[in-house]
Amino acid sequence: MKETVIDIIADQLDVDKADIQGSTNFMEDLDADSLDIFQVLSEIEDELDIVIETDENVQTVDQLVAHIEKAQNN
Amino acid sequence: MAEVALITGSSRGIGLEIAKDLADKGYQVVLNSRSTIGDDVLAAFDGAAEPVAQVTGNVSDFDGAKAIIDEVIERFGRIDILINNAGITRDGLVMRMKEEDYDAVMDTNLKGTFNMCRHITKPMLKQRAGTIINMSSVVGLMGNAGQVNYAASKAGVLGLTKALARELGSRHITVNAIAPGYIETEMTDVLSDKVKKAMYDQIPLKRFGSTKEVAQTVEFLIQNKYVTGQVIEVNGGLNM
Repeated sequence: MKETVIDIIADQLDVDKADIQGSTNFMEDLDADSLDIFQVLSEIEDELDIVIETDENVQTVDQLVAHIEKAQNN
Repeated sequence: MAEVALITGSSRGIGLEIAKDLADKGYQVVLNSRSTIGDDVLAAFDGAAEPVAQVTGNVSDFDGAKAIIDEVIERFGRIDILINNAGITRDGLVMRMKEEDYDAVMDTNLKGTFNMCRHITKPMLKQRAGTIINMSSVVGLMGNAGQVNYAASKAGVLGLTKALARELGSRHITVNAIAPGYIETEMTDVLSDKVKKAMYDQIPLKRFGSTKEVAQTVEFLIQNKYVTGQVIEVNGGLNM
């Protein structure tokens, strides 16, 4: 699943997959803004057919993966 | 491929005129109404370069609004222009206004606009382009006795428009409002000459506007990509 997430992030933010690690911070490391993160979340929701709760702030790839795992378990 | 324009509440009046105008200009027009639009109305689009389409659905329903947008995306792959025109009135003096009359007007005019904007955001962000035009009213700017619900809803549309323009500006999506004054439609046709004259006296240009003049404003907002978060008043000078 993490591989899919990294593919989507790379595609949406137009960055190299090699630059995306678990600890990568969307805003600081990938120069993303809040709309970029919204688009990444939307793509993941469509791709994995889940609904991600976004009340909490998603800053890093690991945090995003944790949100997705939570959504998949619901 | 022609740009796709979805116009809510386009079975008659201002919405229908905007739809005809855009069809004449070569846009792929998608009409919307709560019930199926009849052949008598569709006949007006016979000469259009792109065959007119219609999607029935109620914008005041959150999921219904999503279904409208999903269907257009399904059929045409994109939506370049969204015109939130669907609107209703339930007039009455405030002390006699029923709660359901207030709610109905807010649900269609303001929440309906929110619902459509909410669901169009995703596809438009993907496109990194788009034009959203929300129909407000001079009444939302000036107020009007007997229309607290309508005035509140149309003033609300202006706030929504400005906030959304700020949210989506970085993705080249413009969001503007048009605030028409008194426009010649079936709604004004029923007014008596006496009432019309009293209204003309308030309007510096001494006449009602035409639906065509509102449609011209829509064209301007589609073409100009450096105008966003604005309210364009089309009212003959009624409000300055």
